[in-house]
Amino acid sequence: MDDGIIRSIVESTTDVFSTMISIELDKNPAPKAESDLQQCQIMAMVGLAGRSMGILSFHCTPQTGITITSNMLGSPVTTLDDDVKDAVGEVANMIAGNFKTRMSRLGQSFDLSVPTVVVGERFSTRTMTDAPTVVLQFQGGGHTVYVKLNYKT
Amino acid sequence: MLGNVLIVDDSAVMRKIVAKSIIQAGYVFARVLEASDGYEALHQISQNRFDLVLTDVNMPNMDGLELARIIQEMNLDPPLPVVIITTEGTEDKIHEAEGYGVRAYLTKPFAPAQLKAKLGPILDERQEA
Repeated sequence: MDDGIIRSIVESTTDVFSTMISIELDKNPAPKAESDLQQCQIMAMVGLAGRSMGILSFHCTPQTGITITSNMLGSPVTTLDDDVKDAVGEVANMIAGNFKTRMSRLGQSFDLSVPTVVVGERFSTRTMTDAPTVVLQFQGGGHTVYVKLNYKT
Repeated sequence: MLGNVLIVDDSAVMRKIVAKSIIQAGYVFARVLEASDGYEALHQISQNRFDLVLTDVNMPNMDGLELARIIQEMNLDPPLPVVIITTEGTEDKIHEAEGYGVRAYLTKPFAPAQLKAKLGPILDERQEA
C-alpha cells in the first residue's frame, strides 16, 4: 500500500489517541497478519464509499476498550458495557474522519458510514473488494491496538 | 450564567465528553440537554430556549448539516448559534456548514482549549446580548 496512505493512518491513529485518550502510541507500528486480529474480541468498522472505497476497522481487547473508555470519559469504567462499545466505535469514527481529511488533501475523496461495533471471540471478516489490505499494530501505555485498512482508489 | 446548551451526537460517550469539555473550558450553563440526531434536536429546540447548539455531522435519521440548515431557516431572534463538532474536516463540508450559518467548525479529536477558542467569541457575544 502507498506510503502516503500508511502515513495518514498512522498520524490519524496516534493523533486520536494522544488528544482524546491520553495514550501516546508508538509512531512506527508493526505490519501484522490479519490472523493476529482474532485475539482482540472488539472490532469497530467504518465503511468508505465514493471515488475511493474500502473499510477501516479498529481492533482491541476488552480490557483495552475499558481503558480507552475510562480515559475518554475521565471516570473509571469496569465492565464491557454499552459505553465501551460506543467509545470504541467513536475511536474508529475519529480515525476514519481524520484519515478522510488527510486523504482529501491528496485528492482522494469518499464518504463515511456510521461505525458498526462487533464484540465476540474468534470471528473473522471478509471483504468483497479486491482492494489492498494492511494491518498495523500500535503499542503504547501498556496496550496493543490494531488498525486494519482495506482501501482502493 | 448562560442559559441552556444542546449537545447533539449519536454517540452517548461523545455527548458526555463534549459536556465535560464545556465545563473544563470554564463555561457554566443553566442546563445541558442532549439529542442523538437532528430530529431529536429540533424537538428539543421547539420545547426549550437555547443559547448554543453543539452538533456532530454524521448521524442517522438527520445529520448535523441538515439540522443547521433548518435552524437557519427558522430565523430565530436572537439567532441560535450552531457549532459543528465532527470527525470530518474536509473543505467541502466546512464550506457547506458556513452556507448554513454555522458559527464555528471543530474537528475531533479536540482538546478543551480548542473548544474554548471556538466558543469564546460566540458566548461572549451571547452574554452581552
